Amino acid sequence: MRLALPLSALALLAALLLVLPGQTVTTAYTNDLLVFLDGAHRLASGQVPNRDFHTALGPLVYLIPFAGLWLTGSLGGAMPMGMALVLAAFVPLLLQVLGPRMRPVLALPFGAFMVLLIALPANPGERITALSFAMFYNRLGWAALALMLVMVLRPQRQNLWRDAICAALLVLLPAYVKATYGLAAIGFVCLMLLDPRHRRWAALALALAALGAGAVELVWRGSAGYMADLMTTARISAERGGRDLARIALGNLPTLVLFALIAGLALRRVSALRDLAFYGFCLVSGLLLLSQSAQGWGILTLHAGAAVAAEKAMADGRAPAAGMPLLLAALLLPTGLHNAATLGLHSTLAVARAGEPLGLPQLQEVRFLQLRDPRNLFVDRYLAGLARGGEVLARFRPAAERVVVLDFANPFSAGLGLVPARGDWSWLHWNRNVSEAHHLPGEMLLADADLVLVPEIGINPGPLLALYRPVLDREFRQVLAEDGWTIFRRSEAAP
Amino acid sequence: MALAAALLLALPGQTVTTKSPEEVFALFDGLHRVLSGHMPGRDFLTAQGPLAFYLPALGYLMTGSPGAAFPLAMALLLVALAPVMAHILASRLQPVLALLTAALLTLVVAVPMALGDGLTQLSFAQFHNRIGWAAISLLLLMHLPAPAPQPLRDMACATALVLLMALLRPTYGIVALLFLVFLATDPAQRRGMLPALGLVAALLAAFALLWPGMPGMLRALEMAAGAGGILRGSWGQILDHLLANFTDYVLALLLAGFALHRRPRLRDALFYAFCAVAGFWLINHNLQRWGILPLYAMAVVAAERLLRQPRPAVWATPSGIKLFVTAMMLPTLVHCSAALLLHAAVATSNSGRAFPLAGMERVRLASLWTEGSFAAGGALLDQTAEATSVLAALSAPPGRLLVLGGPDPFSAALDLPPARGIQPDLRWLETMGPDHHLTPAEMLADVDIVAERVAGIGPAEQLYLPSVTGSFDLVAETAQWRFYRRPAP
Repeated sequence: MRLALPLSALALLAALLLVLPGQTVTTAYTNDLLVFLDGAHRLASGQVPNRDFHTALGPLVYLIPFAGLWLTGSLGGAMPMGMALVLAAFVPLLLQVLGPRMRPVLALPFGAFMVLLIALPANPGERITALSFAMFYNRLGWAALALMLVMVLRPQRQNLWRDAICAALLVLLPAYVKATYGLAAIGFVCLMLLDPRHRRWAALALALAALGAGAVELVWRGSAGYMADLMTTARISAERGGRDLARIALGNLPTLVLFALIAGLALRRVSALRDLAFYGFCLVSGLLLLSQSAQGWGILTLHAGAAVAAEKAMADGRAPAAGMPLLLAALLLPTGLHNAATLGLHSTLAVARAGEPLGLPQLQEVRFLQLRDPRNLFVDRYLAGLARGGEVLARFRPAAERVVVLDFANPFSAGLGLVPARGDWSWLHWNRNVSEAHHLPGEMLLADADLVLVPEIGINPGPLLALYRPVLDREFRQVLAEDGWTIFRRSEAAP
Repeated sequence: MALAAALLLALPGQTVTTKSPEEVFALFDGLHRVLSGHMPGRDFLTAQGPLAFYLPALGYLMTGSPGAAFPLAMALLLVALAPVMAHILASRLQPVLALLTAALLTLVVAVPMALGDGLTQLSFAQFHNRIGWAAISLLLLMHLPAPAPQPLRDMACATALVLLMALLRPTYGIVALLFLVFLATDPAQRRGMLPALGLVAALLAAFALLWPGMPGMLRALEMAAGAGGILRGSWGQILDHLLANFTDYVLALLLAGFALHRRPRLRDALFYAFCAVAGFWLINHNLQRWGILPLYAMAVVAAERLLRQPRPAVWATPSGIKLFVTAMMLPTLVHCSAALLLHAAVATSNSGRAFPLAGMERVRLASLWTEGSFAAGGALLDQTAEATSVLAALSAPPGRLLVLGGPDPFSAALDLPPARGIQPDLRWLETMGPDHHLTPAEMLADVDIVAERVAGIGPAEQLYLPSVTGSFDLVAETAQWRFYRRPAP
């Protein structure tokens, strides 16, 4: 196939660029990266997401780094190998969806754009110097949803089972990564139910997705916990208003304008109303999803919508049809090249062993490098604090285990290879998944903890300490306060 | 179109800003200086050309209102530029490309916003940069030979554009002059461009000999070049700055590559390289992150070259090329039109708050989802108004005043005679630096009173502050300002 070879080759190249250096280099959001390394370590220690620890992110967010850790045996290889595995799983879907629906001159740039989106070791739209695997789940969610949107095009030859299976996977993948993307994907399939030409595969896909979710639940048995943690997080995270959406729209104005241009050129057709509904879905779902993430740029449903519009215009054969490939390239090429350059920068820095390893024994292959000019002094102090905390813990007798950190991330279980505590949160982000009004009671959060660490320099230790102080006073005693860390140990059972 | 944009700007007769009032203070201080008879370069030190000061002064003289000075100056310039633009674009480009380019350049001049800023960040600051971008882009487009040559008109246009840039901002003047030399060596353009080069050289030489501000301008340029270097910033910052314009570079280079692939021409390759390099050099010397307009000129020239090919390539069809250029320009067109309409709407509706300073009542600070800078700007306005009344209430009249820690709002508000021999725009490592600056004696020679803005003191101000505290007396103090007066002899 004219599509399979170049896209597979690109994906393979990207995967090799990620995996071969065997290192993770991060220049931004280090605390966020630590959450996933901790997650990989938890799974390696036998824990199961939403059963042994709380998280509002889907189980795939933990399984992917765990698979990377398992294959490479190193926390530094966990994220790059995990993303390479995602690429390997995603490319067949990409070929099955794009191949029969889009002519190669459009499918090739769009497919390459998607591959580079997944392989990007940074958040889309951020500076090339902000390398981080943090929030990789957003990229997966966008990629799955964007590919799903292409299914609005009718394939050259109908293949009910192929289409239904692809669609079911494209519902389940985002649903088990971050629920909001899954919700958007389900919404899209439901929209397809309204169209008689799409109804059959859409209905079958929904049934298959339900079956799949049932099968997953048989193995996982964490769905109820996932829902509960999602509800907690939804209650805490403030609602976004129309103003946030407008701000996002302004920040993505170039994409919006080009999307409107391409969609407008393709719209002069008979089924204008149906098409309008589709483009509206791209716009609204994309705006809402972006407002739910920490990024300000990258409504990637619009890129998919534009690719669909370009294909429709070319199928129509109207006057500007011949110009569509170049027009789509104007939208996709700059971002694609930027992402490729970012991937190249990560590999170069990883091969060059740039920066310093994080100061914990198991994190020797995870390196931090300051590329900000001027330096971000807070990160320097934060990381130095983690290293000192690790030294203090390593000296602890009896040996430390089941450590809970009252801050954003816990680097010690993974970093020192300790048995992780059960029943706590994967991460604690003040006013995002923990707040004054909604939080896990201290007795439950710290139920299994032996040691509780509170840093002097952290993302949000202050409010967390204030919130959980009563439990610490009741059930723990302070054993140490030095080197920027206050450490509490569980009191011996009350007499 | 130029007329519509000009009217939108000028009719409300107000200036609106949502950014810091400091930028407005700086503009009004410059206006106040030339209206008091000061000549840039002779009476105060600046690396900007005289037009950067006399254009707003013209706007003021025509309306008698300082609030209308800047919008009207830009409107006048648009009207003056329109025939030049019409000749260059119509004689060289296909209608679609000509219309798109005309819209882009008109809006870039008209929009009251620094290029690359958000839609809601309205400000007239750095207005001369936008004029420079439009002028250099027009000049660059003259690289395309006209199918029906009109050497006389070409000569007039090129001369006017180069002089405009040279007298507005020397960085643009240098690039323009270099490019004019390049044009004059083109056999196809020689008939118009050689005389233009001679004329420009003669006029600039006459200007250099006759203009009394020349020595000061040269000294300011030397200081800026010495303090900031030929290329400003660290290599990391330069790379970051390039990447901020990554999309434009990718799109322009792609079209240029297509054009050279279809028909390799040495002079075209040189031209594209000149656009890419000189464009970056210009933005490197501006206070601006995004907006290298020469890349758009580069793309338009490449597109026109491709469209003039008798047989189009399959991968670059005429409709594809036109759509590609549209895609490159449309986001900026939408952005700038929206900002221009927003300014007109806010200026007409009298929203926000007027500056509480004499002479600046027709300048308004507005909040367009910019509460942060609105609150900070409002606080600065209140502090400044308070300090102005303290200054006005001093037993002896303030006399000639120097502000350390920001631009001078007082001289204009109180109509003080401006101090001679100072450098109003102190920007560390940009307009001056540790080894390139006026001595305290030079800076303070003509100054009666010094205003220190406590929050604004940096390394640049620290050069002069010790001399002030050492030999001047503290005469008044507010929360944010301290005033020192030269003791009577």
